[in-house]
Amino acid sequence: MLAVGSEWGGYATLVPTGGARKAARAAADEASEQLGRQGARQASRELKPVVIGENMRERVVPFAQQKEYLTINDFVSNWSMEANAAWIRRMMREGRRIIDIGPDFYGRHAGLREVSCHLHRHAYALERYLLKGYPNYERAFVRIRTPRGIGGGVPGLSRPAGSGLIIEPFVP
Amino acid sequence: MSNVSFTELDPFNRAFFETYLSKMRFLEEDWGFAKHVDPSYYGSLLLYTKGRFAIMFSFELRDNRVYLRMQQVDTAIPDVFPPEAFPDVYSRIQDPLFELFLRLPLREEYQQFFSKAERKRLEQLIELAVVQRDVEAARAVLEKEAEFHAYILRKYQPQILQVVEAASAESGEA
Repeated sequence: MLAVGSEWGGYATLVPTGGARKAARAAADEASEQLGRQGARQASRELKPVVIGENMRERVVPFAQQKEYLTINDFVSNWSMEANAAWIRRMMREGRRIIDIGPDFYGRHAGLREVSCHLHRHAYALERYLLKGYPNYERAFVRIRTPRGIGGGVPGLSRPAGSGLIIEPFVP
Repeated sequence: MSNVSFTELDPFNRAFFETYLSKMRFLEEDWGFAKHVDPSYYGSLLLYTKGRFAIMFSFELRDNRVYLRMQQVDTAIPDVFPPEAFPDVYSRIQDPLFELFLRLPLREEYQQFFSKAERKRLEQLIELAVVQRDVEAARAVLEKEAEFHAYILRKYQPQILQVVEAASAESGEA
């Protein structure tokens, strides 16, 4: 008989000695998964949600501040595509609610170039790809078809304005 | 932030500020706007104001791109777009500079400003900047896009300044 530790006691199994190590590993994996799922459910209730979307400065961060949620800004201080992907995976492992505020439809109109849909060079596209099927994903934006193409956005969200924009004049 | 030391910034935000401050000098020297900067890792802001009007350049670190916008500083711009699809939201906005900005044919201008070969080269540089974190590639992209933004502002200077100066005259500002 193989004892698999008290917390995994329920997963201990009677196995022939030769397969003990393999069975223990399988039991441990199953237990980890089970605990992981429980942890994720618990985390989704306790950990702050995170916000994703295009345009960190004008959309993602203000939306998160308004709701007291977090963004990648609160976790990753040296950005790269790899760090971005690792961050999303971590948020999923932790079972956090992930709020998607979507593309910057206005920015796409005013932008100089088409936003790339290639996952390897567009962080938001990569995030969306990684989040496919994630149960704690929530979409906060609308998307509509217009004569000018695709439009939409987050109803009720405004870009920061007012005195907050007026900073002291720059002194080189 | 009033005193910014560029050496404290990461190389990508530094490239943004150095490029745009240089290319947009005419906004201060010729147009009489005042410059403001607000660095932030994931997205810095460079703002030029005159009276209650602002020309804004917002840098997005993750895409190595810059958003241009013109508006009154106290106008809250809705996130939803385009205006014709959300008429109730946009009908509340009374901002002549933002209305002018929305009418600018930016996409068409962009296609005309850069040849097909230049656009292809830019795409390659963008990939290097974003995926490889190549600062020189990022700077080259920012240089080109700043040139385009400067071209747009100069081309539409009469209309822009007409809005700014008419409103200033109405309110009695200098």
